[in-house]
Amino acid sequence: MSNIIFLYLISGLYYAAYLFLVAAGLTIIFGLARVVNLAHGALYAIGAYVAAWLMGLISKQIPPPLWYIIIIIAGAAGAAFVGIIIEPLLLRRVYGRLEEFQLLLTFAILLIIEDLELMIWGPYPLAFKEPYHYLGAVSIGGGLMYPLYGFVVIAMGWLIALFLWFFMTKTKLGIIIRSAAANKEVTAAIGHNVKSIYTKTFILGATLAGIGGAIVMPSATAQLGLGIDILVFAFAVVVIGGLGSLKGALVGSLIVGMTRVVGIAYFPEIELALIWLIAVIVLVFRPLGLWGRE
Amino acid sequence: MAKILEVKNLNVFRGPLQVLRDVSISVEEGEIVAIVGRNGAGKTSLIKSIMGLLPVKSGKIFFKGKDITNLPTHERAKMGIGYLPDDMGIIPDLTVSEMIKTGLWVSGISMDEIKKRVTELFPEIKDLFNRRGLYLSGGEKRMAAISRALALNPTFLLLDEALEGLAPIAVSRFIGTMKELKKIGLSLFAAESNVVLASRMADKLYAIERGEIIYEGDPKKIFEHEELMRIIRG
Amino acid sequence: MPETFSNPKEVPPEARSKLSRRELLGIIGGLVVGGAIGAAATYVAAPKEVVKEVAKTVTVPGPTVTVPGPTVTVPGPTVTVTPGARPVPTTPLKIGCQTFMKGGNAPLGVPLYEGLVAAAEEINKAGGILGRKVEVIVRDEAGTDETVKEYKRLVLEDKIDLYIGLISSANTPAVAPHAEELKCLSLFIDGCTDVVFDVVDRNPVYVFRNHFQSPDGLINNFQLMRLYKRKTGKLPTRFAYIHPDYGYGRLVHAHARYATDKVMPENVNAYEAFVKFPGTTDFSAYITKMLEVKPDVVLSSEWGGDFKAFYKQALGYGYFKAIPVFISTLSHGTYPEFLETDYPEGIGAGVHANYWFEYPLLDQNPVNKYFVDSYFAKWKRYPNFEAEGAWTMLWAFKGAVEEIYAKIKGGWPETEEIVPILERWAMVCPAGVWQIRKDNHNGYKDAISGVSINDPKLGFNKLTDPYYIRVDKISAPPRWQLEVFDPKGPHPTATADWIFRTWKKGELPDGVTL
Repeated sequence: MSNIIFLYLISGLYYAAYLFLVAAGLTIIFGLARVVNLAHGALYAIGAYVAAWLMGLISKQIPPPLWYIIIIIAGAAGAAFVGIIIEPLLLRRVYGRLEEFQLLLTFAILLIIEDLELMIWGPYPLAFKEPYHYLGAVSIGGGLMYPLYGFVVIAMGWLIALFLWFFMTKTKLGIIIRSAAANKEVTAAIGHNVKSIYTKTFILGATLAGIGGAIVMPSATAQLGLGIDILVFAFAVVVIGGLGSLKGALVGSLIVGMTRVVGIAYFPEIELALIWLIAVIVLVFRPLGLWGRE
Repeated sequence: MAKILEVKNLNVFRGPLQVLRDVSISVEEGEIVAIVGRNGAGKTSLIKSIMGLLPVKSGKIFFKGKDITNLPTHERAKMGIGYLPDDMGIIPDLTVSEMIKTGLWVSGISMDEIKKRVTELFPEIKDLFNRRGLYLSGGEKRMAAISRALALNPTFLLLDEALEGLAPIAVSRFIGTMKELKKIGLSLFAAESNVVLASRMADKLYAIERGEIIYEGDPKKIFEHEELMRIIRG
Repeated sequence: MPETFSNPKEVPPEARSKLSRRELLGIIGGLVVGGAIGAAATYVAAPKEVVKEVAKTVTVPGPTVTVPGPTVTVPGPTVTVTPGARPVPTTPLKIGCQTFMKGGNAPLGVPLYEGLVAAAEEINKAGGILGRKVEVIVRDEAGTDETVKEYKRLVLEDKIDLYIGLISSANTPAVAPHAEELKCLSLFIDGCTDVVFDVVDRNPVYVFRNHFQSPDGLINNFQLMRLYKRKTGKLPTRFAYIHPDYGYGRLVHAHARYATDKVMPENVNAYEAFVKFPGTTDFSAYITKMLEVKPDVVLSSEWGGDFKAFYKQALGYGYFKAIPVFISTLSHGTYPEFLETDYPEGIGAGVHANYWFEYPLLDQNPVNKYFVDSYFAKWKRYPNFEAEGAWTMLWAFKGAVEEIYAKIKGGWPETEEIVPILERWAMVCPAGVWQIRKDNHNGYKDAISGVSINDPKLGFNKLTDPYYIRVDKISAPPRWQLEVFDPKGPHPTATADWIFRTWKKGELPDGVTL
């Protein structure tokens, strides 16, 4: 029985890990630009597609340990590249506009990116399996196994959480981003180019989403619609944790990840409803989420 | 003396509403200039336009003789214009020393240097460096905001209602601080709704009403114009 | 017209089973010579009373036709159109097609389009239908509202002559009433839910469909029992289910539960889950739960990208070693190259709509061989059941038009004249013998399931060891949906109702062996 509990726990942590990467990007971008960026899901999908596409091309030519680095770099670079294009070109135009307008435009961007994915990679799901199978599985007793790649994803999630904490509290850009998030006029008035901070932050958020999409690919498939599906859960995370808060994204991801596991195991008909029920309970007591701020 | 700031025939709109009409002002080097007016008369709009936070429809802004009308805010800051918004723009999430650092990274002066400078002005700030913005009192917020503005090593400060909401004793102290700043070579342009306080600090006074300058001159003499005083006091 | 097939004993599968291989080959040869696949195939499929009736149709006058199959150009009688009354239009025949061209359903949707285009090109090369070229207008299938809107645009604005398409079980019940209202001959390929003709469109006129859902849910349910018995010598008792959360998955589950509760009343439903579809990337919690409840067998109807994610993760958990028998009704139903060689061997291999491109055996069914070869030559991959369905449907339409054309002695037939021909249509299609039943306009073919095996030559995982059940043994008899089944009653479909009322507790149904 204890090995089953271990599997549940690790399943929850696994889901939380890549969900955190998506929610963290969403929350960082919202924290600064106050834009609920629906296109964020598409950046996750881009990460997934680029990683799957590149692995399909070169996985046979490069030694296995490099795969894991390639996946992350490919996902990050792909999403960052799209971020560099869409922030200055499109997203910048909705900062400070009405929310309806922001949702409309960012959703339009999501759809455009999906169509581009269709044009570039075709209608069929893309998948690669080598990095997942290569690491094999560890026996956890009772004839049960756990795929080692799961630990890679979990470790990546925590490493990036740690990196983000360090980045936001210890680095120059992190502190300036926090300053601009609270007050962009004053931050500009002490000599910081806020436009470029927005772009950099957007790219950071995009990169996180791209890594999130890329690291799940060895165990999943890149298919159209990926971007919208992850958004549903990422929004649950930021609603629970509080939009704009990284700590909220981390705790929210763990709550959603674990709730999903409990839901699937014991209330499989209402797993998604269960997650939103928790979100509603949080909102009743803390309307801005656990760590949200005005 | 040379003009550090000169604003010529400035017209500014917020949406369809014209908030500044043909405004012209100037600040000499080493001078404290104040502008008074009722709420909504255009003081904040003028300060924001000078800082580059509001788009200018027509007119020119010169700083140290250079046309800065179309320069983005951060470029103006780098030229030496410091800015204190009416809410002091304190970042609740950052500590005082982190806020100061955001200025230092632009100016390049050292933390020790700036700490020395600001503790001369506000001795009690040395206990506040590690406190977060969220936990600062009204007076402490002003100290932090001025310290951050000074970290930029400015030659000119824009202050928007810097005295509002302060106890009388603190008001006197901050007027003292402004004069200290003037002594170390800064020029100041301050928006103020209290005409008595404005005349106490300023070398030159402007009055603004509905976006138009209606008085320019000696801060003491404004009290002689009864009609003007009625307008300014509402 | 007499009721062609008034009881299930007369449905063609039995006919097929009584035909020797030699006879079958002879008939297929005749089919080629006959000039029109549809017309001749009718003969094959209905060898009893029907023979007399359809025998007439074998002598269909047709244009000079290049027949698909081993390339044989057969000069047929020249068409003589009676001038006046209703000449054959010189304009091309416009076929509106709706299918998923993108998104998670594209792995099924695109082959449908490709199968239709393949048939259209072959027909055009052979001179068209009564000399009319056919052209295909494809529109994206999407959510129900958009699909209906697009359907109406095709009919009203594009003025299509014929509609072929639809993948989703959400869309066919929504489109069917509009098709009847607009009187547009609409041949659905998939969207296979029994609900379409059992509940929504109970007396169809203009709507037909290539196949329906209940047989492939049921055969895979029996395949579970069969494989478990083969492995352990006894029948399974603990069942678990993981299905995609939409109409198809829900109905596979319903039919499986009806059947299992009848056949083995003591069975335990250990776990059932309906998973968001498409777009679930992480199945680890579902896998863990199934490992926890230790079922003897697991029935799934996951497919496409989601299924690939599922099996990849399941491999990592050692799931296929821990679960004695697993089957997904649609694992091998996506396009054939879809399952890679990392897919485990020796587990159940379900194919939706009862078509896997290697069965009927290519060397025994020239129609299938012709279809697979020409499809592969054109699209550089193997066809799936949607491609086969669309291809078959257009050839069936062509055959029906030519048959009635002969009867009315010239002129392009009205839709109302084509419908009665289609209502008793049967032919040898790539999937084998296939017949449309008059009472519910569904196409019927024998159910097939198999066992997975990696084929190093093909480079993907495929179906082997085919297990057949005659379609009439696992679906409601004719007119059941009209005369017995109550659409407002407790059972979701006529087949479920039929199982509930007629199957004996604790016994396998007649005609099913494990």
